[in-house]
Amino acid sequence: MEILDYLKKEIENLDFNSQKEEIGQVIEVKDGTAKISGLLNVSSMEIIKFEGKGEEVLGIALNLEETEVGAIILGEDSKVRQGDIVRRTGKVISVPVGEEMIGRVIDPLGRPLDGKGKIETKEFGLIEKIGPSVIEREAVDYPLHTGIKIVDSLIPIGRGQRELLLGDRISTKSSVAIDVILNQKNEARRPICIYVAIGQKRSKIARTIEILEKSGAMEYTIVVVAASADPASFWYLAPYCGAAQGEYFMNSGRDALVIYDDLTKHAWAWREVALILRRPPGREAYPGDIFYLHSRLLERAARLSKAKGGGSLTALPIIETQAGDITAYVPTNVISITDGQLFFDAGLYLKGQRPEINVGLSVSRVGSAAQTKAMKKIASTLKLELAQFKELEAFLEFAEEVDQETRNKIERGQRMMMLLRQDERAPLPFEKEVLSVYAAVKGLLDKVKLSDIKQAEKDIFEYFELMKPEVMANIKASRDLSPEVISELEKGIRESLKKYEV
Amino acid sequence: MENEAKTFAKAFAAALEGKDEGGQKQTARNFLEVVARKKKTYLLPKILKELEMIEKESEAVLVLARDLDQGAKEEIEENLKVKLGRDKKFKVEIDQSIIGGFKAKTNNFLIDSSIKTIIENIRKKLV
Repeated sequence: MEILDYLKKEIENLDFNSQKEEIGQVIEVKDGTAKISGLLNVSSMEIIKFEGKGEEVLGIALNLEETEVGAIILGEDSKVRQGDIVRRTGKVISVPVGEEMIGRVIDPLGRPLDGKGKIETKEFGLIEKIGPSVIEREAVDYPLHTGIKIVDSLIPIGRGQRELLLGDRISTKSSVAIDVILNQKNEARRPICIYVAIGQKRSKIARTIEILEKSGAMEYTIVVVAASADPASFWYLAPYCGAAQGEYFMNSGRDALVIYDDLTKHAWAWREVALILRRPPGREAYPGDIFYLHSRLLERAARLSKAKGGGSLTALPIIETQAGDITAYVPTNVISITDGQLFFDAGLYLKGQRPEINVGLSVSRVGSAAQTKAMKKIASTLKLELAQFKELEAFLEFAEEVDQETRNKIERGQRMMMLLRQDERAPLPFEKEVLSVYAAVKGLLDKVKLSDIKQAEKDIFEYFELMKPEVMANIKASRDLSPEVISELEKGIRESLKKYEV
Repeated sequence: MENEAKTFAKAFAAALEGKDEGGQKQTARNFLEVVARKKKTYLLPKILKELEMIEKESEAVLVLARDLDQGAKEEIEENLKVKLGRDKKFKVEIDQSIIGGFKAKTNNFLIDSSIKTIIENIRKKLV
């Protein structure tokens, strides 16, 4: 009987007064877009509803022309037919955001894809939003540890920074990006991570999610999926949805990290939509606003001022290059928007260097402001020595005989390069990175054979973990190297490397 | 300058209102003469487009579940004219699937008080 009462109440509350609604009619449907007549007062980026014979399909009004409206269809365009009625909703497109999203896999409209049930959020975030103003921002000064030695020591990334990952198809860009998420597990101030997969195969996405779940990283991660089989409109929306998710955490005073994998596909999707909507094509058939497409997205990454809660949104966009050409249209655009880039060199990849980051072409415009004191103290020498080594290495190809001093430099350089190699799925906590870079910079590894370097590194870690955990804890807590700690490091590393000395 | 073609089209449509066929032909001739005298013949394709729009806008479809008697129909139409504004020529369509009530549709607006929609709304609310 209770149910009956409930139903009665609900029905009584319904409003049966039919209102004058603003509608339009579908004139044309092609490849995920629709042309609509009517919809007189519709606004740009407003959600519209296609009411066909069967289900309701959503769309977004993009082109507002004199007599027609061009819209993208969010869903299967086969469900929309000519003559269907289109209703306005009066809402500019937004997605549900909030704590409830953490650990979930969603589509660009915020609907769950992981079969873990409905997501009930209290808040909505706008898909299209202008990033924080100059006044609301603050300089980036807190590091985002990637767990990748070569990045954290030479090309440090700060929270609120935008660092581009670019490289060829074969490179390990995505894999490094996922390692960055995994490494946040080691962080005391752990950022919420958002991984946006654009145009990837479902099998690849499933594998990525499995990796995240297995390592426990899913506890602080949101995955936004626009798979390769989804329409271009989903590819186009996915990064903005990711940004909206991240903004929620930034605005609540926390840190967030969003990875757009990858923006090349996003640019393709926007090109597709724009061409079908008959917007005039420009260079490489991309529409005129291709720069704005990415700049407005990446401008949403920020470090907020104290008054605004001090949260941050770090963005790691990924771009795929063709044969290492970083001067193509979209790569140059995104390079100029971001605060630096990590260039994944296919040549280095084939030589076996992993991650194959080309230190010469990579840069972080925030620089050492986003490094801990401990790392700053040792990384400056590393950079210099590596640069010298690179110079000599090129020279060595011509000259057979070199003097002892040069030989020493080369040998140390080779050891550093070897030490900077890192396997996939093995991000290192900050204090271990310090140990390993310290050993290389101070020449403590000079006597170790090149082929033994990896094992020697493991031995150092093991020694400190077992014998001197207090040193590690000290580095982690103070984020600095005091003279006492330095002498402990020196002693400990020498001790652990004894067996390699001949 | 407001859309000139639109102004011409509006004037022409107003002039045509309530004339018989002969009168309409004469009005059309006069209209063309005026356009020619003002040296605006290049606007004619645009004017034609605007006229089509005006025509479209004055059209309205009234969907009913079954044929009603003239009195009831007129009463609905009178009320709708107030709501939708301006003169509308209603084309009556019979569609049994709406069960009861009526639906009035123009190019830009829809007033839906069919029983089917009401039931549908209840379903959406309860499911």
